[in-house]
Amino acid sequence: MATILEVQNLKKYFQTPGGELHAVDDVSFRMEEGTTLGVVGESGCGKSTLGRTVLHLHESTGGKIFYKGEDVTHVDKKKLRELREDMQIIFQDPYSSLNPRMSVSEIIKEPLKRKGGRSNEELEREVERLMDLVGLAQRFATSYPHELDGGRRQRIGIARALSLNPKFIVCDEPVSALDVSIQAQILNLMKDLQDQFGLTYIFITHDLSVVKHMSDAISVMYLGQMVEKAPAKELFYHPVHPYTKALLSAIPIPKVDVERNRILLKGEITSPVNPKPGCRFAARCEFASEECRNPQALEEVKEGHFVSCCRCKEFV
Amino acid sequence: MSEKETNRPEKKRKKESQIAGVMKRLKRNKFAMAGLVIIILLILVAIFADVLAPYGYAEQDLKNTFASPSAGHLCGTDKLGRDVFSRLIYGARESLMIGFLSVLLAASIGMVLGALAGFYGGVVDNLLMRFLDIYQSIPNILLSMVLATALGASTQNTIIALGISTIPLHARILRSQFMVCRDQEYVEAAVATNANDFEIMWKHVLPNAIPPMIVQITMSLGLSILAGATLSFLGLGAQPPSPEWGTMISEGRNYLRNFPHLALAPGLCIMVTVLSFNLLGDGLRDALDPKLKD
Repeated sequence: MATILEVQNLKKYFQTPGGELHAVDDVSFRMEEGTTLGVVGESGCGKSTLGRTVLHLHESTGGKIFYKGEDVTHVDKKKLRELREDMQIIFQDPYSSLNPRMSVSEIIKEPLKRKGGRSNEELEREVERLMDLVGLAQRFATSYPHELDGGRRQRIGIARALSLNPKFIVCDEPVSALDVSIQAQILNLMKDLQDQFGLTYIFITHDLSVVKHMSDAISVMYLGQMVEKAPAKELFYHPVHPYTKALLSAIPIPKVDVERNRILLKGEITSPVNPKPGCRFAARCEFASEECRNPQALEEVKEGHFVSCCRCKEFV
Repeated sequence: MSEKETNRPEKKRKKESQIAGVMKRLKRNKFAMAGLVIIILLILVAIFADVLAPYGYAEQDLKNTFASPSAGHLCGTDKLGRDVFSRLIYGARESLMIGFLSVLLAASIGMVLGALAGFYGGVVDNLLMRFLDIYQSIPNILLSMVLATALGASTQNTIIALGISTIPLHARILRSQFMVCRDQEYVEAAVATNANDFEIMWKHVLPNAIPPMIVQITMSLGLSILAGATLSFLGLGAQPPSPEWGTMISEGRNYLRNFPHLALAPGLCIMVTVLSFNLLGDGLRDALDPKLKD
């Protein structure tokens, strides 16, 4: 499989009145075509910013982005147009991600129309095809988003993302605003589409069971940094980083007689504004020591399993 | 194929249904409907003034001055024997024209400024808004008086003066709406699908930002008519023999003690017109609020 996306030391800082907010700090990863990378972490850890920076919806502060082997960190308008046809995004909130003044078919048609090269008749047919693809009945073509439920709205969002025939899609918590029963439908739809078109997903979520179901590899983020990255199964069965362990221990076990060993984190999340060098989790980590104050780097502890913790060898 | 054909007319129905929904909600508001009916009547009167008015607005009958209301002269005659009722009818044309044109001027400039400030934010926003701050620190009526004096008193200059002095109101409202809408995810989706700034503003932000503007414009129409009448009353607006209502009050003022109808009749017209626009504006505010959808 060919590498489709490679990100090296990506940084995105925001200027805030309080100082520099390190939303994404020194994140590196590589993705093969047709795979899914799950990105998990708590609210505000920079997952969404990471996805948006990769798509050039935010301009990166530092680092490099390679798409299909080509450096696309800084691109001109023409190249950006091409890139955006290849890279798309599915949003979290199917209520605010659809223009309430446009009908379903208008929403799906819009990107196609902009691309040009199709007659009205062809556009109509293409919209019909896309609606079929995502399982939206044709009778909704003239409906407005507010007339539909969350699941159908999210299908519109998916159809819009697919309209330009992308290869790579950032899914920014696509199901966290949906009912559990509808979540499954949407997730299965996304998996089917991936198989059908060989799509590559970055799947951003805070729902651990969802990410396990969807991903080939999972990376865990904490305060803008990637603390651990491993194949999905490996991460769930052999977590190494203390934060990952604490995170996984929070998954409820649907059995009465099983004793849960929850690792309860103490302390507050440290602020991402002007952070100190060194491990950002150290303030809440029970294993923290002197050397955690030094900058940390991802280390490969097993094949394909990377951990950013200076004491990781002790935890393997 | 047959399915497609049934789809087409349905599309049209749906498009209209958004406006129809607003109308449905507006219809429930009796006051707003009364305002709307009066405004429509006024507009018709203004358009067909030549047909409706029994006399010309400058037609004098010097033998019959200061006549009381009668069958021949519904609102009596003034000091030059001109039929007050006819002048009121022609006055509707003048007053509405001042209202509509000055608001058109103010809204079109104000909306462009507000859209740019709200959409781009940052330096553009700061520059435009500080400029408008200075602008607004001058009382509205004072500014229009100064402008009207500088430009010279005429109906056309009244329109320009009123239009220029009310630009900031429109700019501010659209700016705040643009600031809310530009952060919505559907705007981000449009960016991600290669929409340019103009497309985003025109197709995604503006349609969602427009409802408060409609209310603002309706209310401003009333206010502008009132301000236009004020300027005319002060002698800075429409000049005699123009039948503009403010001018008529100004002329009738001298005879208020003996012939109050000369000032009262145009005064009532102004009041009813402004009230109608305000009632309609209030009604629209509720009707356009999507949260009150049924």
